[in-house]
Amino acid sequence: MNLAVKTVSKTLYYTCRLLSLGYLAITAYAIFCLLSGAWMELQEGGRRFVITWPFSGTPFLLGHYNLPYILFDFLLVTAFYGWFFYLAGSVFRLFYQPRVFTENGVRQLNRFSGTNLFLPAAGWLLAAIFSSLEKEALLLVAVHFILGVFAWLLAAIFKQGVNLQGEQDLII
Amino acid sequence: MPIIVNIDVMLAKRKMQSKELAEKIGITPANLSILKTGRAKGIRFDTLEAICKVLDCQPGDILEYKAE
Repeated sequence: MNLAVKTVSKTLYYTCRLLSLGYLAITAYAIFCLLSGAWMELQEGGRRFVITWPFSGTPFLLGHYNLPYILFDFLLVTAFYGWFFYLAGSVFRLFYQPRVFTENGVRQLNRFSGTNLFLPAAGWLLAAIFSSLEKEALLLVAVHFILGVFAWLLAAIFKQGVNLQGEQDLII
Repeated sequence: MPIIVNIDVMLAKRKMQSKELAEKIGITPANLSILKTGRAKGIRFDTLEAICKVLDCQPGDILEYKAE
């Protein structure tokens, strides 16, 4: 791979890892605050919650204070994006390795593809059953589905690449 | 595969070990073993040239066609 590809993929890898860490930390922090009541206050007669930045009164996370919303529209979404960016980072990492076409690459792409094809749709279905949904949510599900299809096609190309690489290795 | 690689025969004639040949032609012993056991999909001209040079032989001494 040329230097530009390596630089871009490395940058995207670190960005995705950072975003993943951020989302997972937000999820963990929100769970902690919602369970313990620390750095959290209820508003509008207990209908809405406000989670503030730690050791400050500045609002950070806002939402409806009921279990279906907290589970399916809030925690599930932040946890999903934590996982999504982790997997996206793993995919970008493939492009700056000395060997691009590997079985590990195919595995990473299949994992990323499966996550985008099925998890948002499943999450949307759960949220539709137990909670209320905004129209934009379906658009996001569609975007993730298309991304999943692209990753699936890319995985097929990588699989072919692995086979060709294997044959190439047998030309001495 | 109907193409037989006779490196072992030439090595025996020249009283040379596989490891020594691998070193002299600049490939790994593992790749030479792939070549010798007929698992290789192909052989590069420069590898063939190096083998012929080191073993002082012709490509026909190393490669043989046997109909299946």
